Amino acid sequence: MKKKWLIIGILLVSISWIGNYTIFAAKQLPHPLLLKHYYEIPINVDMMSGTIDFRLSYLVNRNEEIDITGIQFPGADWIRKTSSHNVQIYNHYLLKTMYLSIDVPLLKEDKKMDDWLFKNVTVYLSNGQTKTLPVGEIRIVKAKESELLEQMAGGGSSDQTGFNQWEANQPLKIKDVQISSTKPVDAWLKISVNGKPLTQDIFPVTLAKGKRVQFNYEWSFPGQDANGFHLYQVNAKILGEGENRQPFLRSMYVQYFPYFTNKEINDVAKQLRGEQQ
Amino acid sequence: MKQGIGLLFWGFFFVLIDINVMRIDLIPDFIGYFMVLTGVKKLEAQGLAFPRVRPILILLAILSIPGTIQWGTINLIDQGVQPTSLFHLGILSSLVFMSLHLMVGVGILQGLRKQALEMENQSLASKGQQGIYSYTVSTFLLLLIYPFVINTSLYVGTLLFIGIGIAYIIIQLIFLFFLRSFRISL
Repeated sequence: MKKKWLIIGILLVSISWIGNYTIFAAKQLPHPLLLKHYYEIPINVDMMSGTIDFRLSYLVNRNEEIDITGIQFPGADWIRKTSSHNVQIYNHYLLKTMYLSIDVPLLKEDKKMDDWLFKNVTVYLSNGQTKTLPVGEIRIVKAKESELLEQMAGGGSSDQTGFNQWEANQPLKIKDVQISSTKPVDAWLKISVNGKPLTQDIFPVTLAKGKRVQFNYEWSFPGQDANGFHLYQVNAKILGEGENRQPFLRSMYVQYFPYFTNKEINDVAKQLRGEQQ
Repeated sequence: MKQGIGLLFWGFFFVLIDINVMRIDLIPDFIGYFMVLTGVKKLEAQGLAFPRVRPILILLAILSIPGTIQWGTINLIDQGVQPTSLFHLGILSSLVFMSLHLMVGVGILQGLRKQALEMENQSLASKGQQGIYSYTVSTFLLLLIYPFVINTSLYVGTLLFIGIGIAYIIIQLIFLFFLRSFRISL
């Protein structure tokens, strides 16, 4: 066999190995990275017991060398991690979700304030390290929820559309729907009420007892908008008055949990690495 | 000479076959390599030449000793070895073994081809030449593709991994068939 071909072969194999290992090494995360979460979580102050759950997403290397074993929200011992599981495996990363629950009775005992805003959390890693990482903006607000409207159905789809259906327990008027979010979402979130786009012109929406109102929503982040890489949980406040003109408030979750392609998850990792080194 | 080639055949066959009982390889690879080494020595005593093959065989035999016991990934992780390190170690050891095997295989094929020429067996010599080309090119191709396993999706990576494993076994079987046909033609 000609020596020249042997050398070319060895060179090609070396390039393949060095190249692949360089790419692999460049993609590795030094520690798990939390995605950005922009949540507003209303807690009904009339709730006597139970928990309110929410979730956080994070990225680890595909081999899961270092994982998050615990998490602490500063000054909020009433938030506890309950579980975590794998969402999707990518070429280099694993997208994981951890579930957290807010212990409502414990939160109600915490009289320090009526709402809490968390921008950073402390995470405990499986290698024994502790890190403070940005989490986005998670606001927990106390709210007095009315029973006049009762949620009958709700759902979401992977195309980032969803709906919520509510039934009136007595004759009432919905006078407004106010979007409360830790990050402005007007450009990306479209809501409709009974098929009509959400504008002031559609109010009041009058409901007889037992009649239903349906809210549809759609998230859209045109182009390569990096805001679409974050997770959102918007608090849509349904405001109105009952048959005796008593005002009421009902909070409705409008959530956005994105699905990522391999290229998108690489972009997410790159962006987060820059911020969470 | 038949006995020498028989040792090469069975030695390489033992290296190819793994029978694990209670995490121990009942046919350890180093025994196979020592059989090949003995075969090479016997053939060299009869005038055949296999340059550089003997030291590589000794190296292969030594390197294969730890593989006699299947350590078990979970046990090693429990002892603090990182999964990535194990993964990389596995891939790196495959690279080393495949490269050393290539050198030994080509060295043996060259020696046998030369012998076939001296015996004026043109057909066997040309088979040997083809064997050298195909063994080298196919091993190089596998070595070229192998590292892509670490940068592809789990599905593609697993398919690549299994595909490369099967292809490598086929290459080794073809090599064994060549040794067998050389022995028969003597």
